[in-house]
Amino acid sequence: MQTLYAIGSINDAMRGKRLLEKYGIRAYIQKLSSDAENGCVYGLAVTSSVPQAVSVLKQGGVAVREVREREGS
Amino acid sequence: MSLAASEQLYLCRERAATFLGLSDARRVVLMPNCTTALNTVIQSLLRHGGRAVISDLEHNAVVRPLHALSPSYPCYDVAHVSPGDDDATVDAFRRAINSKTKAIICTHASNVIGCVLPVARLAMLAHEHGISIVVDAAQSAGHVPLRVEQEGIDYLCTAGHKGLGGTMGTGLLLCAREDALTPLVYGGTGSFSLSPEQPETLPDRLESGTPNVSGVCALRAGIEHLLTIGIERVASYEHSLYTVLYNGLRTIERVRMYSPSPECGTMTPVLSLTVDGMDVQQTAERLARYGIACRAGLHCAPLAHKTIGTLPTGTVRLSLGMTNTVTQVEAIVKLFKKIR
Repeated sequence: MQTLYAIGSINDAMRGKRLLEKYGIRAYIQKLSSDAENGCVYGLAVTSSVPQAVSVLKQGGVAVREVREREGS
Repeated sequence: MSLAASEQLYLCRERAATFLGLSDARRVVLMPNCTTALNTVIQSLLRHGGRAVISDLEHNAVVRPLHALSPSYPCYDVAHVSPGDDDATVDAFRRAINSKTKAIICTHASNVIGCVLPVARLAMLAHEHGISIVVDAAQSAGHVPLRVEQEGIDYLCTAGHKGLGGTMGTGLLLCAREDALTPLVYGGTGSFSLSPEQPETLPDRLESGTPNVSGVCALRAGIEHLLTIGIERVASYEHSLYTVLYNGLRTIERVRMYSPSPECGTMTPVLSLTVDGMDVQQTAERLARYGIACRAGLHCAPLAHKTIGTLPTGTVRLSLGMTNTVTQVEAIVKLFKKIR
């Protein structure tokens, strides 16, 4: 299972990746399909379910638009 | 590949934030030069009115954007800088602030005489009056220590190709404040693409269009080099070179120097001079024959030349850096002894 945190800006995604890594959470960035509301979206992919990831991102000022779960690693 | 390029841009933001003391790399805006950064901030803060206090050593990158806002009636007041006397400089800024002042906009180091302004104290003064401080660090970043948040600077503008060791066509705007600045350029940012509105968040808000990725990579490398050496070491070495140059030229009667003596404290290694009986361009040409590159004239800072009394012809400016050696500086002094 992979969790994807959808983020609106590449710079927010970069910051999010660094924040997660500080907490020992490995993440990588990928470009996602544009969403109907905002257009271009970047995904921060975490290879397992990490409940604290959203709060780490929020505390670091990274706005998460959506959390998607998907199969695979 | 686009993600790899974005990673490079973000790495540069991170290095700049580390080097210049800003906690969030997203507030490092990549600009084509320092002038664009200054225009962005000046127009954002003052386009709806209000006044600025500037120093009497400002470059045209500060003076002209202010003049353009109000050509018929200056929208700025000028404070005199007393090199080596920070109390007097801060007092001059204090006296120049009035009820219409919205910002102090000043150079960190004069591009003509090299003296460093007490920006941390000026930031305190600005905040006591509820106004912003904008610092032009084109000449100081990479030469003397500078910490944006620690010194209370709201907006720091700097060039990438000078002390930071990058290439021409790069500059930085570091924003410690959250206020949304008004972009000079609108367009694609790779984010929030469905909206016709410019994004609110930094750095996207101020970075429309294709970025100068190769230039930014070079700038990142330059900053990494400085981080490896350490800015205190750079500043100390350059100050020692300046001391050799200043003390050497001081003994030559025909040479008039306009930069402060090394004993004045923190300063950048820039020495402005004239040679009695010689035109500044002529002096520069003579130096060029010996492979010494310098700049003669007004250095785009007529206000500074008015202050030091060198209008209309200006000065010859010798600028030292960390790649120069004492041997080179001694050779310059010898050359001035025989220059005719």
